[in-house]
This record gives sequence, structure tokens and C-alpha cells, in this order.
Amino acid sequence: MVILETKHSVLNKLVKKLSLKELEEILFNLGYELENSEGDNLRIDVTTERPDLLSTYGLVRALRSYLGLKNEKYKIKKSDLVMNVIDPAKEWPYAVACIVKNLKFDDEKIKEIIRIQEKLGGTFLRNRRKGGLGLYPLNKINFPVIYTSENPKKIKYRPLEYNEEITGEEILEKHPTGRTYKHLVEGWKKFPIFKDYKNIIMSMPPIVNSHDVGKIDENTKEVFVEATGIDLKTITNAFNILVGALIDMGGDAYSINVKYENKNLIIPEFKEESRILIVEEVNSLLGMNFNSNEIKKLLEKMMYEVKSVTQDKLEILVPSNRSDIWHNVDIIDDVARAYGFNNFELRMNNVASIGSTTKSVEIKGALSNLLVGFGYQELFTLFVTSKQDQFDKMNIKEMKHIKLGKSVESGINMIRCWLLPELMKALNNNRSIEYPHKLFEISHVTVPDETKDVKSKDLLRLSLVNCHSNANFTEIKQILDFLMDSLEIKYEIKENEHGSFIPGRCCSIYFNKKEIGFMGEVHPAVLKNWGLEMPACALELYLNDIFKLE
Amino acid sequence: MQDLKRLANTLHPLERKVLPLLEKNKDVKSIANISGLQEVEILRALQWLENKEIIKLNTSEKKILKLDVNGLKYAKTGLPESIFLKTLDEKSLSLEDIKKNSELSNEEVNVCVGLFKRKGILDTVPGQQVKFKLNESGLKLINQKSIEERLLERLKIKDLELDKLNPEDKFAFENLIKRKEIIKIHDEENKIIELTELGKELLKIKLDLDLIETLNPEIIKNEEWKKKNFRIYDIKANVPKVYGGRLHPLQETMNQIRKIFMNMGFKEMEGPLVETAFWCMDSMWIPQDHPARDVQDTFFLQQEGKIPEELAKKIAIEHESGGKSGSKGYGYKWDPKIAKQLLLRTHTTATTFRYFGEKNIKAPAKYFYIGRIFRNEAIDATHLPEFHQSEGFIMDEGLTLRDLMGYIKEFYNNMGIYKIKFKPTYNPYTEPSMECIGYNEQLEKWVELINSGVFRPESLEPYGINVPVIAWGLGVERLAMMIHQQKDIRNMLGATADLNWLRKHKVKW
Repeated sequence: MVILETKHSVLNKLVKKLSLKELEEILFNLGYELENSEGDNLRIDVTTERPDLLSTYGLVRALRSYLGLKNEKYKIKKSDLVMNVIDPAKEWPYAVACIVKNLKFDDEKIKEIIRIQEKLGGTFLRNRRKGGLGLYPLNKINFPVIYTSENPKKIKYRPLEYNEEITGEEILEKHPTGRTYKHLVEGWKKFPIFKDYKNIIMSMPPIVNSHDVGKIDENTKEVFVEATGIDLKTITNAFNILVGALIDMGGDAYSINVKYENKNLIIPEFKEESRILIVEEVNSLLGMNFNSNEIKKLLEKMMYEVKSVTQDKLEILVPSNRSDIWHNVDIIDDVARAYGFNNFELRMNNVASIGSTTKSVEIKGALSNLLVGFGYQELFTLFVTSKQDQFDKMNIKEMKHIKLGKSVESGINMIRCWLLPELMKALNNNRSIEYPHKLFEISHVTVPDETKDVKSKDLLRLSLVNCHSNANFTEIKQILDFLMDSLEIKYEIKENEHGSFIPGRCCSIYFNKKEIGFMGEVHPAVLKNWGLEMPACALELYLNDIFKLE
Repeated sequence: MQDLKRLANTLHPLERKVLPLLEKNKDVKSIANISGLQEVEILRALQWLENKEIIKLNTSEKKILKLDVNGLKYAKTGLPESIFLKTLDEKSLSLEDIKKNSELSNEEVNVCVGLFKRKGILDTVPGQQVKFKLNESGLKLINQKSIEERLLERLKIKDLELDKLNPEDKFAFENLIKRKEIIKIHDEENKIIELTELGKELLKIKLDLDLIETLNPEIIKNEEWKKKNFRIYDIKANVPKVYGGRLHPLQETMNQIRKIFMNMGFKEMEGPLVETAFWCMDSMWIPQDHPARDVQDTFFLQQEGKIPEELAKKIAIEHESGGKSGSKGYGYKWDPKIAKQLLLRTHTTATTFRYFGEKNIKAPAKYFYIGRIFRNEAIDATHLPEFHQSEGFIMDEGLTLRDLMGYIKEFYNNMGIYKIKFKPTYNPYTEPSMECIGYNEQLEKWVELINSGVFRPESLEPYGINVPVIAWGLGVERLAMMIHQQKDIRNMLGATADLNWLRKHKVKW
């Protein structure tokens, strides 16, 4: 989910007059959502794969096209200006740039530019991990500009909104933007820099511009625009969206000759990819009977240019700012959006098959029925838990378990390897609720298994606990007897030692010489750990072993 | 007369015991004395009799004085001031000696010194150490009992009612109640019983004392019921609440979803909770730099898993260049190391693709899954680190977007939702993708429950699947919360579940 902040009045002026309701409906049909509106201010939820809609001007083009209004193609004029790419940082090797003149910035337009930069940086460029964008007042720069790299100790300039010149290294420690993006350049020997012909440092991408030559304001009429990053395709895409917005604001874009060691690029180039779309391809995915002219009309609503049409195929140009067209299915999806998802006649092609469930589900269902009959309340506890809950509070030594890495919630560091502690936690949370408490859960626990591709296996368990003023061993053994008898299992029990239970009142349960569970009266020390003042007795069964589940 | 007879037959044995006594006795205590019944039993009987309008209960409140902790002590030993006087007697003693000899506390001794100085009966004897001595009027007081002590002695014998104290006792009480824990006041409710006209009438007829109370095997066998009347119960009376065992509301919702899928001919799948990033993401063409792979969204394990090598090669090509699927691919270098990361699966589609890769599924096929999934998120009323997802897919020749819409409509209809809308959306492994919004008649609003799409060719090519696969999924908790109008997921899922709510949740169809 990405939010585009824009104004209703701007859309009315640049698209056509639309009521809020009309706008909401068009957006819904296109797959976006008017999240809320406050007076003139609109917040529109657009999806992440369409960075071109992160600018009001991009959205305007999409809406105009959808409503059958013409959009002007982006026009580029040539200039003889040059930018040299010399010895760029190996981690951040690509740069593109151009200039835009005749801009009439006002406060609102500057805000829009900053918004586009931030949204593209935050989403499409993955928090600047893939690239960054920058704008500079043209009158402060002397061409040819150089994109190169330098030892951060030797880089020295005054970063945006800072009082003095500091080194590249210092920027990462002292400047707020430097601190925010420090992790991006961690370990780099040389940092990327732009400098002009007079050796004045313009910026240190992807961190921060120079305050002296890299700050635009309402008086700026002409700008130098650049994008840098790890991958030429991605940064060109972001760059084009930004330059496109500047052109739509009324600016005239002039290309720059960007000279790499082994290639020359004339930037920007709003390149429209040509694709062939087969009519049958469209109809078989959508289940429709469109002819090629109908498809043409639908494509044009979605900003595609149709170069030629025959009965069974169309030659089309994909709009230059679309980065989400990998396959013809992506174009067909646009055909469906243009047609309107809610205009399709529904159908259900018959696919004959017989329904079935799994053995685990059937076992769980049967056992749950028995336990509910005994007055047990079913619970669904969480898999993620902590060593403290699974071992410490249960008075036992650590068992083999699956550890988790970083967790947003403190207190989560493993996956449960037995169920009972989670039921004890539920007893703790429900101390004030009327007793008796009889709880059960039939679900999986996860334990390490080096032989599996996922280094673990999920085992089906049954756990139940009784907690009330005279909960005791007899009571739990009666339930075991009943369950085992219902399942026609002849079990044996052996006294065991288990920190969670009272010595002499707990045992392991065996079936065919294999351990299939344990039960006992919960030790008062464990009750105390869980803040309980009522006795409890509990049982846990290994259903995997009983039913030979894999 | 007929009515009186019937009324008599409704009387509980306790009522029958108490009622005849009411002619002469008007309070609970005297009834208890005569009948030998416990007060609670009498109170219960009186309550029932009042409900039947046989008697009227007038409640009056009495304030009863009882000895408190210190009062009990002083009733035995006398008040500290008399102990002080007796200890001093004709001697001159220092504060220390008084304390030692009297065993009074610091505080008590200090209070006495202050009190007697004010009364002018205690003198100071100068010297190295200050000593105290009683003067003439002081010595006279030694063997006099104060009015306060007299009250304490009387209270030791029995509790007294505040309103019935004589003026001297009342004065003593007012002095004592100001002091710490000597007297406590107990509010006692006193019920004055008055027979109504109906009650008086009822007393005139003979109360059939030989009614059948509980029907038991004995009575059935010897046919005693033929000879006697049954007591008539007050069938409108409230009874204590009981709770049975219940399936969890989530299980009920899952069973409902499972039933719908199975009725529609779907087979259930199962798969591991811990997955490799390969099965959870790479296998279905989710790019390796997708935001869902960020640590703040996914639980990663501190270990690497294994990936199927042959398939991984195909997946790599699909990501890098799109293979023969007709796609351009993402144009990056696919990294097997990233695919080997172990994590807690973030969606059940991981299992769907495991089935594509491991179970050699052939069209026509319909499968579904209901499983636990995980998100590394902060906990609040709508977020827990785990929840359940359900999804189904259909694989067959000739399936289209319209069929996906048709199947979803059928699925919704089975849940009792008939008005639906589709909204296009984006999803990395399906195209077209759509959200399906259903109109909930009870809540009178549109709710988004289902996400769906047609699997991308890039996601299917590595498995050799060349027929369309359509799929949809929904959040189980979201649905269950909607059905049961539960606003906080924590009351339902996890050890934080509210047992009261689980016991009392309503049955839904």
C-alpha cells in the first residue's frame, strides 16, 4: 500500500471536472482506492507496482487516458551539455542526468517534487537501496559535470541545512539524513560524488546534496536532475517519472550526453517498448470474445499506443514509465481493468474432482469431539513463544528447539516444542474467570530435524489441562483411559521424572514400546511461576507416533 | 380454595417448615431457634414465600457494636490508662521504667502522660532523670473503673445495638470509637416478617406435608407417586449457569470453510510451517528484493535450509530472464543463498507451490489448504504475529478470469454472502489479480475478504504446468471476527483468549 497525496482541485483542472463520487468509482475500477478526503486534500491508495502513479502528474495522465482525453508525449530537446562518469563507486556505478528549464516553481510544486522523490525512494527504490534522485539549481553548476567517487575522509562540503563544511565521514555521524542512510554505504572504500567543472562538490549520493549548490527553492527556474544507483534500468525508470512530472509542470527538458568509459547515453530517453499482443491470448485469459478493434480501444484507455491492428494481433507501444510489464499477461490485465472487472459475466467451467481432507484433520476432529463431550474448551495458542515460557517457567531444562532471529515483539525467540506451557499461559490469563478450567488444544509443535530441507518437522500433539480446587492425577488418568479405550490402544505407563510435575505423580505413556506422551499433577512451583493458586493436572500426547503420521 | 391448594403444593419443604412458625414469630433469629434450621435456609424460604406473595418482608438496618482487636485485649487487661495508673501507683518512675513495668507501647505511654498531665493528676519529679508521680487526685483514680471500661466489659459478654445504649454508654462509645481498633460497627440487616392476607388464608388450610420432592427410583418402583402429590416447582425461577466444552470459534469457521471446499470437490493439502525462502517466495516468482522479505515483516531462522537443485536452476532462469514463458524476467542475478534462508511461512501459497514442485499434480485438479502463517509484526487489536489463511486453487484447461470470478461467487454464496464486487489489484505471482468484496447483510457494509488471481506464466513454467491455474485465499480470523463480531483478535487467538467469551460465543450458521 502506497499513498499518493494530491488535491481534488488539481485533478479537476488537469483531468476534467469530476465529483468525489465519480473519482472514487474510476479509481476503484482501475484498482486504486480513495482512502480519504479532507476538503481539497485527497489520499489515494495506489499499488506498489505502478511507481508512475506516485506523482499527481502520472495519475492525471492515467485518468485522462481512461476518460478518452489525449495526453501529450514527453518532448525532449537536445543540448550539447556533457556529464562524465569517471571511476564511479563499484557499489553504486550508474548515473543518469538531464536539465529542465522554464520551470515556474511555487510552494505547492516544490512540495510535489519532494513528495515524488520521497515516495519513489521509499517504495520503488526500496528506501534508496536501489537508487536515489537529486535536483540542483542549474545556475550554480558549471558543465561538464563529473560523477565519480572519493575517499569519504577527503570529501568535504556543506550538506543540506547544515552550518558548516564537514567530511563525508562526518556527514554519516552528524547530519540527520546521513545518520538515516548510513547503513547504505557501510564498508564502502569510496563514496559516490557529483562535482562540477570547478571541482565544487554537488552531492554525495545516495546520502545528501550540498546546501550551497544542491538546494532548490521558489526562485529556481532551471534545474539539473540526476538519478544514481545499482542498476541502470531501475534508476532510469525512477528518473523518467521525476522528469516526466517536471515536464508536465510546464518545464522544457534538455538531454545531456552521459559519457561512460565504454558507452555514451543521451538522457533522458522516454523509450516505449514495442510488443505484439495476440487476440487469442487476451480472450483465453479473460474468457472473452473481444475482436482486435475492441482490444485496441481498451488498450488506449490504459495509455498504450496501438501501432497496427490485424484481425488476430496488435502491435503496441508500452508507455515508457511502466516498469510492471514483464509479460503480455500484464497488458491483458490492463485490458480487463479498462473493460471493468465488474462487467464480466461470471461462469464456472466444470472441473470434475472429488473432495477430501487429510488424516491429521480427521484425527483432530474425532479427538476434539471426545474432549468437548467431557467439557473441555478448545484453544488456539501461538507457535511463536519464548524460552522463558517453554522451559524456565515449566521448571525443566532447555530442550532442542527452533530458534528465531530478530522479532518485532520482545519476548519472542523460538517456536513451541510442546503445547502445555501455552495452555498454562492461557490459565494465567484467565485466572479471574470462573473455575473449573478444562482446556485442550490439538495442534502442531515444531522440533529440529537435520534430515529435512527445512531442518525441522511439525508434530501433531494433543494437550489438555484441568485446573480447579481438586484437580488431581486420578482425573487426568480417567481421561487418558477413556481416550485410549476409544482409540483401542493398549497403553502402559512408567513413572518418570519431569520438572513440571510432582514427583511420584507423573508418568510417561507407552504404546508398542514407544513413548506416546506423558501426564501428571502440575508441580506447585510451576503453578506459582504461572501465578496460579489452583491445582492443575495435565496430559500431552504425541499423535504423530500414535497414528504414524508423516 | 382450589387456588390455595395449588399454592400449598408449590411450597418447598423449607417453606413448609417455616410458614407455620410465622404466626407467632416475626424475625429470623427466633425462627432459627425454634426450627433448628440454618439462617441461610430460612432466608431462602422467606425469599420464596415473598415471591409467592405469602409474606411481606420489611427490612430494617441495625448498627451492632462489636469488640475489635484492641477492644478484645483491653476488655481483659483494662485500658492502657488504668494500667498506667496501676503501674505508677505511689512510686516515682521514669518513662523507661513505666514502659518496662507496664508492657505498654511507646505510643500508649506517651498518650497517657499527655492525658494525665492535662487532667493535672501527674507530677514531674526533678532529678538526674525525669520521673513521674501521681498526686492525690491521681491516686484516687487507681481503683476506679472508667465508663469506657464498663462498656468494654459489657461488650465482652454480648454485642450491643447502638440505638439501645443508655446515655452513659453512648458517651463512652463516642470516646472509644475515636481510638484505634477498639470497637467496630457492624451493619445488620433485620427482616421483619409480616403475613399477607393470602398468607393468613393459607395458614388456615392444612399444609400437605407429604409431597413428592425429588422423583427417585424407589418412588417409581413402589408406585408411591400414585398416592401422593408432586410438589409444584417454580419453573420460572432462575437456575445457576453452566458451561460445556466448546470447539473454538476459529475451528468452527475452519470447519465451515473446509466443508465448502470439500463440497466443491477440493482436496486438502498440508505443508511445513518452517519454510525456505525458496518455497515461500522464489518458487512463485516473487523477486528477491521484494519488501516482504524484509526482517520487519518476516520471522527468519538462524539457519539455512536446502533447496531442490534442478528446480532452482529453472527458477533462476525464470527470475533472471523469464525463460520460455514469454516474460522479460526481472533482469537481476538470482542468488541461491537468499533462497536458502529459513523462515516462518508468510502465506499458505508456499504449500501450494510445494505441491506443484513435489506432488506432480496433473490437471484437472482442485486443492485447498487451511494453515497457520506468520508475520513479524507488533501486537495490537487487529495484529498478532500469526494467524490462519485458507486458499484454494483449480488447475485445468480453459479456465479464465471469468471462471475465477464464478468460483469465488459460488464460494461466497456458500458463506451466505450474495452481493459481491471485484477490484483489480497487484500481486507478484498472479495476473490478473483481484480483491473480492462481499456485502455483509448483518453488518450492512462491504467487507474485503478474498484475494485472488490467475497464476502468472513465470510462476508455473518451472513446474511444466502449461494450463491455467486460478486461485483465491482468505484470512480465517478476519472472517471469524466478522461472524462473531469480535473486535480484538487477542480475545480469540493465542493464550490471551478470553475464556468467558469462548464459553459463551454464539452458534452461527
